[in-house]
Amino acid sequence: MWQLADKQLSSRLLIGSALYPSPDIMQKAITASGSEVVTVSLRRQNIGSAKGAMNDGGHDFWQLLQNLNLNILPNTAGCHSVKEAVTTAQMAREVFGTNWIKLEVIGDEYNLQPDPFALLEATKELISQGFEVFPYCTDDLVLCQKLVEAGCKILMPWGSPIGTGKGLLNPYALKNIRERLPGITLIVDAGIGLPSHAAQALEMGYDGVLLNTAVAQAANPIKMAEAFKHALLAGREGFEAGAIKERNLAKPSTPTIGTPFWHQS
Amino acid sequence: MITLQLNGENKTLRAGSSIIDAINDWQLGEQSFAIALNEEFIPKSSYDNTSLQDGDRVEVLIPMQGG
Repeated sequence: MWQLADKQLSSRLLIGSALYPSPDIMQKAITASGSEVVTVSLRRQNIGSAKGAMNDGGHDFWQLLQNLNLNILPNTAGCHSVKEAVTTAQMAREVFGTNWIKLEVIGDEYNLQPDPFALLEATKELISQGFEVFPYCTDDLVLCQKLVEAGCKILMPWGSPIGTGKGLLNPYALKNIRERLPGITLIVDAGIGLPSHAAQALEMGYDGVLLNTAVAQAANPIKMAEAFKHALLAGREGFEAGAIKERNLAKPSTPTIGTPFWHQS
Repeated sequence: MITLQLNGENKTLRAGSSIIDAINDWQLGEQSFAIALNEEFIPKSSYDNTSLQDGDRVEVLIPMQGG
C-alpha cells in the first residue's frame, strides 16, 4: 500500500479515460490495469441534445465510471491561463465531488508544454481554496521546488510531451527531482509509451505513473493495461530491492578460484 | 427578453431570469453539470439568486473523458 494524498492505494498506476476504441474497452482496460485512480475532464454540454451520447462523455460516461468505484482525478486539460484553470477546477470540484485536481496550464501548442509561471500562480490560488493540487509540470527542478514551497505534496513532472510515447526523455532531471525532494509524492505524467518506461520511472523511486494514450491506443488496450500493471510491480520491487551501482570495469560473475590450468597464464 | 451566449450559441430568455430559470428552460434535468457565468464559477447554492443579464456568457460543463 502507498499513500496518495488522503488515500491508501495498492496500484501505482493512474490511468486516463480518453481515447479508447469504445466505452466497453475503456471499462475493461481500466479494470485490467488494476488502477484505482482515473482521470476525467469537463467539456461543454451540447444543449438541446438528449443525454450525452456515450462516446461524447456526459451522463452515461459518468455513470459508467462511477460504477467502477474508483478515485476520480479531474483535470484542467485545455486551459491556457490561470483564470481558466482556476474556474475549471472549481467546476470540477462541484461536479466530481473531490478536491483533487490535476492542474494543467498549457504554455505551448506544439508540445503541450506546461506554462511554469501560470502553473505556479494557479497552484497557489487553488491551494488557498482547499484543493489538493496535482500539478502537471516539466522536469525543471527549480519549478518543482517552487511548487513544493507553494504547498504541493504531489508533483507530476512529464516524461515527455503528452501522447508522444517517447518515454523518459531526461532521466537525469527526473532522478535529480527524486533525490532533492525525497518527501514529495512523485508521479511521472505524460509521454509514457511502453511498460518498460513505467518500470524505469519506478526503479528511480518515483511513486507512480499516470498514462492514457499508451493503453487506450494500443492494438489491444486490455492486454496493454495488464502489461503496465506488471511493469509497475516490477519497477517498484526493483527499487525496493536496491539496485547495484553501475560501473565501467567488468567483473566476472563466475568465481575465479579453481579455474582450470588451461585458463592460467 | 434578453439574449445571452450559452456554450457559444445565442439563446433568449425572459428578462429577470435567474440561473435556475435558465436551467429549467434549457432542460438540463438531473445530469451532472457545473456552470460558469462570464468565466466565474457559480456554485449550485447560488443558482436561485444569480440573475442573468443581456450579453452574459454562460458555460455549462459536463463530465468527459480525460487523460
